[in-house]
Amino acid sequence: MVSVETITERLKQAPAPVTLSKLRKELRQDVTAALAQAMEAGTIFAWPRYFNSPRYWHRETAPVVREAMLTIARRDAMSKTNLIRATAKMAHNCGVPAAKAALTSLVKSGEVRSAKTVGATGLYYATDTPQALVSASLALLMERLRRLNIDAGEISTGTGAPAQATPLTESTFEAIRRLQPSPGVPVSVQQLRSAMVRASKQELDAAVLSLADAQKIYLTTHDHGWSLPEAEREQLVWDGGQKLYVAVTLRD
Amino acid sequence: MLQSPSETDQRLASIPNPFSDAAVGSVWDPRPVDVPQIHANVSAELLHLVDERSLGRHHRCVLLYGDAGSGKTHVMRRLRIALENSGGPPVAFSWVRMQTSPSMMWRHVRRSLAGDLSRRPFRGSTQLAHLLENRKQSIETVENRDLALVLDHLGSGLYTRDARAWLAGDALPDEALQTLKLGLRDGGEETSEDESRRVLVALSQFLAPSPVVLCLDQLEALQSHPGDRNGLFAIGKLLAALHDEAPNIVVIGCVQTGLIHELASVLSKAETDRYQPTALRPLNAAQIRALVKARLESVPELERLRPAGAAELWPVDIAKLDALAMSREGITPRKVIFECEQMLRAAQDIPEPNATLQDHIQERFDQEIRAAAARLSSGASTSILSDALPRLLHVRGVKTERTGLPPWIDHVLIGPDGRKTAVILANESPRSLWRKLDKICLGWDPAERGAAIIRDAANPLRATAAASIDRLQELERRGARVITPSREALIALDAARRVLANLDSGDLTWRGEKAPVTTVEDWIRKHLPESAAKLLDELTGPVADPGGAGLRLGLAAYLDGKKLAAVADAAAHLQCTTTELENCARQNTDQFGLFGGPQPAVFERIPAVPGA
Repeated sequence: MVSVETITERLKQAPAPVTLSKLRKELRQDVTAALAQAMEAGTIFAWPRYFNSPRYWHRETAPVVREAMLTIARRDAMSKTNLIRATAKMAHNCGVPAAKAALTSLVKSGEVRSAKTVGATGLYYATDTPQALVSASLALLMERLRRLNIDAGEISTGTGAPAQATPLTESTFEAIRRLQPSPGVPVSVQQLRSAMVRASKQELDAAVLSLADAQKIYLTTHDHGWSLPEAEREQLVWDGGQKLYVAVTLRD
Repeated sequence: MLQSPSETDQRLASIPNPFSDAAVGSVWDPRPVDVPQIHANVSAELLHLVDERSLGRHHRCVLLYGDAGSGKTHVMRRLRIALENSGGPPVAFSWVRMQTSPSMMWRHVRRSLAGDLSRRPFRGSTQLAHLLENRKQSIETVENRDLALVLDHLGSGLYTRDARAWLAGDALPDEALQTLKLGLRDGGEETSEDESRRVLVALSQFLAPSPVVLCLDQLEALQSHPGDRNGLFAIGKLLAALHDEAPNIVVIGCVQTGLIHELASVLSKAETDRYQPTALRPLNAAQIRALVKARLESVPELERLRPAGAAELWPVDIAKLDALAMSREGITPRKVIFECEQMLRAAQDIPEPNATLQDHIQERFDQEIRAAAARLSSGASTSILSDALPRLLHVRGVKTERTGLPPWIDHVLIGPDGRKTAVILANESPRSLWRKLDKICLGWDPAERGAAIIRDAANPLRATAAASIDRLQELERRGARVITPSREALIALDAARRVLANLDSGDLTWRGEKAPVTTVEDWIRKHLPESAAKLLDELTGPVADPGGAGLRLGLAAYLDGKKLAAVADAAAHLQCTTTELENCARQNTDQFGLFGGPQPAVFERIPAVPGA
């Protein structure tokens, strides 16, 4: 029989919840008893099934799902259905019920709010990042205007200027520009973090991801980020899913 | 004449896919497809550096960062071709894939440089022949006597085979050394590594003021495993030493962008000051189009089959590539080529191969096995073992250390119980081996750590090597394990280490992306051939030697010349019973075989090459 330590260590190394069948296949031993003991000891947790297969991980489901939902809601405001769907996907396919429960809890705690800005659909966003609501509302409005055959130039003239980046995104971009040893050479995210001490991990991660989504920078994934000690892993930029990024490079 | 749609389909299906090769395997690859505007600035920068060095201006080394598949090797290849076609005086060029261990790196670089200079065809001859043409007079100024003699021989066309072998660092028999008028070697491992460093520096000084371009590809392969700090230290030391000691060498190191932080955190300021970073960025939309166009144009038949009104880059769906270029990571040339290969395959109606990742790893491993079998020579085992053992021990969850060790220890492994074992590679010729064994006898404290002395089966100690055999038996009595990996085990280790090194460097890909590390490591763990797995078991298992190392060594030495002997004769010679001898042969089936019958015989086993 496999030991509790072995199974705990295996799950600690895993970047995502692992199915029972995969554990059995890998360890080639009976893992049921060790799993039960480790769960009782609180070192591992059961996760919602995936394709009907039970899953286990060293992190509890609810906090991971909450974290994922907050990451999404900080980046972009969206409808309830879309937020639940995106969270379920990002949080290791945790399933709709777990994502729904996270939303209820986050709304209850006031960390996520909804507002009807354009049209009748409420947009959910992270309370500490109202910029997400502003951006999404403006994008929605632009889309509606475009559907009325109003071109981008007229929209831009009407609004005075294109949507502004947040100050943190701007300062992050400036920091990357300053830190690169020569144009186009990557900057490690650890170096960037050291230069942006005022930004929290979540804030800087969001700013970096937002710059990447805006085609301002490229990101380099870390090959074995999930096997790093937690303190080192925290230094990387997490996309809320499976990817950890180690370096940023300015685009052309 | 107009063709019917079915005719067109058939002809399309029969043309070669211009996207079928996504990776540049080597800078010596003669394939012509190049898109000069991709990474043009980096190529120009490198050429400029070589020009500057020709004028005697010394710069820092270059560290070229790029994601897996970004085109690092391709840029090196482009530089090689530009220098070769420049029409100017020849510039020495060498490309070294750094798949070696830190303790062997100078020997590895020397071997690659010597091979590239003295063996590869260059303008109708070799690079060294061209370089020697106008320098014969300056051979006298070379301070390293042996190097001067070897260059003299090569310049005069005398003893070229042995002279080239010496230049590469091969251990030559005494007779060959005497013919070349070279000094006899009697040093240990430290001297071999130091000697290689000295030869490399002396060779570059001889070629000065002409630059020597040294491309150190896959620097991350110096790590035994991801996160290995010893390998990173080695990168820093190598670059700093080349920068300081060989000013006419243009060093271009290639490393994956993912290592940028680890390198910066491990290397000292003095080391980081000695290199300038540059980088290959993912492709933009214009570069993607240029790459696709160049590949499509390499098969003119495609243009003739283009349907009327089809898009410029038919049958490639450029919008799909644009979408990938807008991803957070961007898109590398390798990924573009992979995606196009899939699109063309779909247009040709050729089904995707039904292979799984496991099949793909198996295929790559089999290729490496065949290459390793063809490459294996008696002098190669130390470099294989020094690199492969820490890699494979890591895959098995066993930690290894390399720093702060006496020179006779290659590395130390730390078992699951915390017990340390010094791994000692002892493949030297008997003339220098006994000295090394003496040092071990004096310096090894069994209470501090165990010892595993490895000498491969291709280098059996003959009965005349009494001094070495005595010392080995003495060490064995004190608890050291003497392990004799078979040729089969060495081939398997060589293949496995190369698969793992290619994995670390991003050159083992699956569906256009770097293959997942855990899956490949898992596969290696489960599928390592028995001969190699047995060696790892011996290293990490409890101290026991069922085969009797002393008897095994003796039998190997006895069979070295004979190959086949009667069991009774062998037992009499080795002063053991026939049963003991037969048991020894049965327990070491990778080394020996037995014939039954009224007069049983024992023979030296030379395994068949797997996959050949």
